[in-house]
Amino acid sequence: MAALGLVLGAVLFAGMTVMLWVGYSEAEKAREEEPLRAEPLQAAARDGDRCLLCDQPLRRRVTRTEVVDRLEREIGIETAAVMRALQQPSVENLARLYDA
Amino acid sequence: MTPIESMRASELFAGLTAEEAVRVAHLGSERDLREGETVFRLGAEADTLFVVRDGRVDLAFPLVVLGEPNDVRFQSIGPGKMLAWSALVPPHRLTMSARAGTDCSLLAFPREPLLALLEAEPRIGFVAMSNLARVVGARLQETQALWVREVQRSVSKTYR
Repeated sequence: MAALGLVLGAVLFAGMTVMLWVGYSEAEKAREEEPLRAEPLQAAARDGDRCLLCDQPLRRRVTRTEVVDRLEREIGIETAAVMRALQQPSVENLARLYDA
Repeated sequence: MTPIESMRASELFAGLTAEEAVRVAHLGSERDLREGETVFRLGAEADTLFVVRDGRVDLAFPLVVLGEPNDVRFQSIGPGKMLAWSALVPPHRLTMSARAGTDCSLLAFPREPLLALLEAEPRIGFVAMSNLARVVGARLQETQALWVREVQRSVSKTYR
């Protein structure tokens, strides 16, 4: 009876020891990985235009003002090109007038 | 430059004698605007014709951008250029909007007295209407070229 109690105690002790070891290993592994996972977050904190998960630059949605500015710039360039061609109406200029 | 000199250097009144310019000038007044102020809105009645004396005026049309309408500038015009020529041509409706691109000074001519003078004084009327035809013709050519270029782009993109 005493021997059986001794065996059970030993098994319990061994089991607890294994569980402690496994728990400690997991915690240690998590602690080692922590700097790797923290790096993208720090990068994101440095630059708000980066993804929190993968640290890649975000494809930001353009604002209305940006679109209007771009449109006005493009229309200005296009109109200037047309007006230049019309102000010097040589055969070559007029031939290029409709080239897009 | 005096208002009379500004008028005679403008695209609409170029070719008038000094005396003729004075007669037209009597109908007009100066209007000063701060940058960003509206000169006129699309769809309004064209009851006044303007000549830019100083500064720059932006012409704009409405475009829906990201779901909301915006006034998009497509042309800026400076000293000597005419604005709101619809005042001289029925149905006298403005087909675009204009706002001051900078602080600017305009010469403003009310439609009815101006049309009456152009009718009563054939030489002034001929000079002004010839200039108007040249300006409108040039703008038509610009618009045509811009439109054809856009069509060309569409064709090239669709039928590759």
